[in-house]
Amino acid sequence: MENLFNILTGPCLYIAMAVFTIGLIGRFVLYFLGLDWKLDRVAYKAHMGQGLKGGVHSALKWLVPFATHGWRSQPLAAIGFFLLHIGVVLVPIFLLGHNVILQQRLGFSLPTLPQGVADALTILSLVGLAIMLLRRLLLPNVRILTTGQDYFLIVLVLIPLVTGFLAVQGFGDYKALMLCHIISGEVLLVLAPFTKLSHIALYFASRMQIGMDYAIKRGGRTRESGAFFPW
Amino acid sequence: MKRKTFLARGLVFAAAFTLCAGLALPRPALAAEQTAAKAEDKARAVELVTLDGGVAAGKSDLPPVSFFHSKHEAIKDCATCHTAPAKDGGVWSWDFKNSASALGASGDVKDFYHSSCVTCHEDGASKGFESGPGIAECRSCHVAADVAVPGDAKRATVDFSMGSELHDLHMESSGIEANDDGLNCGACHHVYDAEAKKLVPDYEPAEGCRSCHGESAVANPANPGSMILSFKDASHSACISCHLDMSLPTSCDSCHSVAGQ
Repeated sequence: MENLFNILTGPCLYIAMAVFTIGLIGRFVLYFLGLDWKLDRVAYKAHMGQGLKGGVHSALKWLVPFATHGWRSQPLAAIGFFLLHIGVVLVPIFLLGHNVILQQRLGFSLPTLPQGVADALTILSLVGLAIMLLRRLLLPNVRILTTGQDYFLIVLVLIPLVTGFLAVQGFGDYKALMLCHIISGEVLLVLAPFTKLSHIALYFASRMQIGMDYAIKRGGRTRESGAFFPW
Repeated sequence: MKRKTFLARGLVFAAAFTLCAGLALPRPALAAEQTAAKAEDKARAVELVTLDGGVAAGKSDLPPVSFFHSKHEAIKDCATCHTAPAKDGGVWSWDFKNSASALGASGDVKDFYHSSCVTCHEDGASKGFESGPGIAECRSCHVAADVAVPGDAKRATVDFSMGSELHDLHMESSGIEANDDGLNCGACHHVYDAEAKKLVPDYEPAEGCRSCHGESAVANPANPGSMILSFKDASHSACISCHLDMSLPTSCDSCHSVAGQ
């Protein structure tokens, strides 16, 4: 049993982190290599500076709650989205327990969140996940785009969230919950580059592309705000 | 939505929630095991070691690590965790080895004990030994002790005191090196010789150990810069070192329980 934990937090962890990192970097690079300025009718290379300014602006602005018209026009989806994503990004990276593993395995660690904050963010993430799931089930225009993979991924995100939370709160069989938590978390890392979870990296790619598009043409050269399209 | 796909999705979610719920609910067999373990733990309060590393209560998100010393006695070699005497016949230091220097002003208690304890647990597990928790099982070591912890009033009932019988046993033991008059006193009792700046055997002890050795270590007034060990550290160092040399019992309850004595 203890050796199973060793393997899961040793070789398996290294493989999962490597697949996740290299896979997502690969997807990100391939996204840009796949762009065709003639097909997109955007002179990316001729206006790289202007384009990048607009691209970065677009990628960052959509990360701020209610900063864009898009978010303001669908407030419930925005609330669900940010509740879910703030937790699932901050908690795994800055959780004390995860950083203890980093320190032990790789010799470095990041600043950590107080446990109470991590607990609260996890609960908010679950609320956000529920809102996003209901949205997917209830709105016909979202449901029609939904495939089995989307439901599978929702469950895959749900399992490490719930098992991690229950283990920390002292419910149930600690070791069984931790095994389930680690295995599902590592499966999630490995699958991320090959599923829609690749949006972890590709969000920045496609938002950058659209931002460049709007900075280079569609008024980017003549607009008062220049490259910064008022999203 | 088609009836079939709706059903399929429903099943996936039902399966996921059942899995989570099943893992979360306390299992009856486990609960019984835990109750039995807790009852047993109470009886073993004497050998509970708590590594608080000087972290004040409430300063840490997790309770300090408490563990039963006997779980580690299968290791046999005390020097795995403790500091062996520098020379033959010297005394052991029973603090966790290197803890004093590692946990100095800027030391990180967390890193120190994680790299000491968990690395050993994981090495042991990978070699196939029955071993302690790995780095991912935080709450297997960080558990609030359900038994009296050091300093707790309940703990006092299992404290060791050298009753007259035990004292007689040590006085009359032929295994202890005696002085010229055939008495063993000087093997344990000592006084500080301020001129020679060292401990010298006291063959006619008039005062008890606690006249110098208090609850915690204090500076030695006769020799600035040196410390007088706490009674606990002084007696653990002296008694267990001697017991080890003579292959006598060293487990906690061999002294700290009526049955053991």
